Amino acid sequence: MAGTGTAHLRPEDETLLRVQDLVVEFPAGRRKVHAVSGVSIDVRRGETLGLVGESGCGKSTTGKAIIQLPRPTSGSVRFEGTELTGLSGKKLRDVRTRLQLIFQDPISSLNPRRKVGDILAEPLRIWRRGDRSEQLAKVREALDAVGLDPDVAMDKRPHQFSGGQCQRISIARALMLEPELIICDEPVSALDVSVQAQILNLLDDLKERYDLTLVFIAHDLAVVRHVSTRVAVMYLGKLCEVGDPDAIYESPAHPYTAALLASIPVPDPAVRPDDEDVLGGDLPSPLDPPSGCRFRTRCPRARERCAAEEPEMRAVGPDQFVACHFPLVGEGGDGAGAPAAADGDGHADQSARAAGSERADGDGSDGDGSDA
Amino acid sequence: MPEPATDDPVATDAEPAAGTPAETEAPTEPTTVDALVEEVEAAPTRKLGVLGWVSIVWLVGITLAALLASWLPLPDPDRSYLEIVRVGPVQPGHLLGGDGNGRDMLSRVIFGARTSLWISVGAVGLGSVVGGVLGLVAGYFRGRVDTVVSMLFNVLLSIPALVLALSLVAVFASAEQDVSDTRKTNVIILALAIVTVPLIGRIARASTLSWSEREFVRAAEVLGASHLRIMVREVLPNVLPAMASIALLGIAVAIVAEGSLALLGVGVRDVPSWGNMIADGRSDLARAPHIVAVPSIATFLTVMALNYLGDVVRARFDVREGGL
Amino acid sequence: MTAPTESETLLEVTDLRTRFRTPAGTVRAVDGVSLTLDRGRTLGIVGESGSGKSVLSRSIMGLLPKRNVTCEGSIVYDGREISSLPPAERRKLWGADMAMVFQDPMTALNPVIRIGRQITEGLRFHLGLDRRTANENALALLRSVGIPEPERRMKQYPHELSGGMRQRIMIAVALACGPKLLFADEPTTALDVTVQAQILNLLARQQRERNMAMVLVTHDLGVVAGRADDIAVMYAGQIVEKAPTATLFANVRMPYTEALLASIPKLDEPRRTRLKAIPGRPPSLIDPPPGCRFAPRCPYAQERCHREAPPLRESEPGHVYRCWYPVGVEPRRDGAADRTDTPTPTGAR
Repeated sequence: MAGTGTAHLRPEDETLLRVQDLVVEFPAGRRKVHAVSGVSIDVRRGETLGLVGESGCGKSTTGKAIIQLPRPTSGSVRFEGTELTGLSGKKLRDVRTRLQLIFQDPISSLNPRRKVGDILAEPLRIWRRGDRSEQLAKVREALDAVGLDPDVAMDKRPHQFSGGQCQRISIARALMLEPELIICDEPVSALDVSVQAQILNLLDDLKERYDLTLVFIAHDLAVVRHVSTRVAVMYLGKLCEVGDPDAIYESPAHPYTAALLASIPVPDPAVRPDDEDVLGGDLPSPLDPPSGCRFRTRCPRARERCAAEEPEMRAVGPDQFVACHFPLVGEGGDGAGAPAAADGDGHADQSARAAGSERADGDGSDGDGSDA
Repeated sequence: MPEPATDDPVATDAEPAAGTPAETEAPTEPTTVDALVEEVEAAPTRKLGVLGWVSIVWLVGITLAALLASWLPLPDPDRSYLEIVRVGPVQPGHLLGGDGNGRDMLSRVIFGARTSLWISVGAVGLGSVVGGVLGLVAGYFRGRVDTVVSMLFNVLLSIPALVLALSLVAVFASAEQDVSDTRKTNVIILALAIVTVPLIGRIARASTLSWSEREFVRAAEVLGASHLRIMVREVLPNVLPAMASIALLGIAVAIVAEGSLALLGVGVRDVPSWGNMIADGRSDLARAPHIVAVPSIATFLTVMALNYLGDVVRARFDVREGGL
Repeated sequence: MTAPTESETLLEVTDLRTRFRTPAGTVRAVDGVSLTLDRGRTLGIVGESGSGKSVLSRSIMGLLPKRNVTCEGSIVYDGREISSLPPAERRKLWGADMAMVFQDPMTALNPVIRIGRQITEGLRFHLGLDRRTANENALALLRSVGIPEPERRMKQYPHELSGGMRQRIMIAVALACGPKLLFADEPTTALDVTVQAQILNLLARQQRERNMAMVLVTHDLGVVAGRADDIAVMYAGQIVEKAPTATLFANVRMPYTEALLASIPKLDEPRRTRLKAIPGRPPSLIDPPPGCRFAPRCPYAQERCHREAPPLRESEPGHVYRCWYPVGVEPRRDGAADRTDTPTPTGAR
């Protein structure tokens, strides 16, 4: 089977969310848009999974498919042991209260005709939680938690707030039903740099305060690295690389991850970008993705094998997994990723699982991230 | 929230909470260059202006007069005064003169407003409710529902309004049947409402299609709201302004349509309406032009006012949406 | 066509003020900006949304509506005062003298006109070329901006191309008549990071080959750091700091610039360190605060800052800033001690 593989998944009893072989396809006339093609990810309680990639890589679709909006074409989404793909009606609505979504566009995600107080009370009214005064108290508490003055904010409408403040309101709304997992779909991409930092700090605080688990979707690698305890890189509907952010950012194993990292403009005049494009060409159409490895059409390391055979996810480090036939980490002295080892997919799978659980204890502390 | 906050992580941090009163009370002003340009270019059309106020005063005045006609110190609109037969304005006791039968024009134009406005507002109101619901449902659910509803709209649109009204009146309220004016009025309202349904419905559908794409609709779904709740609470309030601006224009069109029906001889007969006043005055056009002019001017002013306000509503709502 | 004796200065803007009369009040979008740009050089203008950076470049180009917009101050382009020219004369400068690349190529390109005509139109209008020569020039242009199969692209419509391709087309349109000054207004904000790198490289190459001056407007200090000769930081309609790029990054004087640098998540910082966010939000441009406009958000603000607006001061040749208590210059009074971390950017990732 030419899948993207599941070597990077951890034992299911350790995870809060486990997505396996997720496929999302949209009809486009007589053809199909292959938005997500066999993505497997898992998230432990308390973790922040950074899902990163460029537009069209399927990261947002993956995030939305987790809460069944839209329903995935195939694959499994298990949240606390409950399979979500088969649920419908009331049961699905019930589960969704524990999974929330924060959107990219803070203005589009708030109804311009309703007052902020109503927007925040709406989830409580839908679920008939508490009476009016209890609801009011909760709304005030949530506004306070996201750093807005309830007395001022309650009776205003969204357009009276700046983008950053609207995003705070969105976050407050996502908190109203006391969810366990929040999927943040590019929550800071539409904001100015200075405001972006405020929102990132806020998310960090709320995560601590309410014991949240986050899936953080973004295209900005620096932002993702900043917030994540684990990172997954996507390209054209597939996973490229998964693992510990420090490992991945220090020595990316997938050529695409490396290209992404090299493309980030650095706020330092000493780093003169060279004129050669790190990555040439355009993203292939998701209507007709390339055979084998989907990145091969733009990959500097692509060979014949990449077109014929789809790479499977395998371990190249203690908590670093890559779906590439010719990963880059061999150069760094790490033997695990050398092309020669690529055939032993089955074994890699097992060692990966072992390596992953060894690493498990160290995941939360992440004190080892130092300057490169 | 799991537990009440003991400390505020944002406030205790070095950065003060971004919602200090001084900040949230800052006036909303456009910041990006595109928003600024839009603001200065749209400003004149968005202001209500003198014309807008004149329009509102006229409409409120004519509506109040129509509603309170029976209590106003007006002569009986059906009574003939021999001294004012075909006499133009201004006459003592008869401000706008009299018509061919010596009936008081001021009284008739006010009682006529009652009929004309009732027919047009009733027709557009009924059409808007039906069209709005159909359009909202079609735009929200899309797919097969949308196909069927859109087909219905297209069929209705292809029926010429006057032909439909003529046929309906002929079948349900023809002169031979000797029906009451109330029944005739209702048939005309129904006919004009049928024509209004697709006009309002298509606007409601298009507007719903774009608003349903907004993320706050997704957010409501994620929060567990039912489709009905989302349609009524989230989508409808945003679709209403577009419908309102078209409905205002629709009322204007319906007033004219009522007049056309009267001219064709199928309108209401026993009570005055602006349409049948114009129809009655035709024969005296050369001798006493004021008999046609008075209801025509009333029609013209009302239609203009409605059109102007419709534009203002649309401009306001466009910018509001664009500026967001 | 350029005489060897001409001055080095291509553009000199003095005390430019652009105001928008809106229903909410008069927005002072650009409030007394002065700058100069030499031939072939790149000026980076950095600021957040609402800082006036985009209004500034459009004011210089003469791209703003006339109604309810006033634009005062002097704009000397190539030795000629252009601010007082009638709009028709201003328009003659577009294309062959100055051109602009916009943030969103989808709205800047006409959706119902084929790519080919959008490029050749300018060539035929400004340079008076015949259809054939214009077509040949357009093909060469598309090739030079890295568009594969230019013949086919000429016949396509904008929506048939990817975002990166469209931005390349926009650049081709802007470069068609060989402008001496190119305004690039957030040219890569709508693009992905790998495509952004491609487009910035393209702009840099074209600029070098054509000896064209460029004003690169962006909110991202990272974009201008490696590419601009000089950087002007804008805040609330004013330039608050301007210096040669290396000087600026080595000796930040303006607390706003410092705060902006500190708020960017960096790849070489330890993970999950708390970001130094700038509290609050930019001031109203209808009624800006009386003193320093950054004072309400400034960690070092003193009483004087709230009262008196600081003038632009020069600390070293070419380095100006607008602050009473600049970073790393005078010994600060209280409040400065707890901010010891000057965000001198560390080396490569």
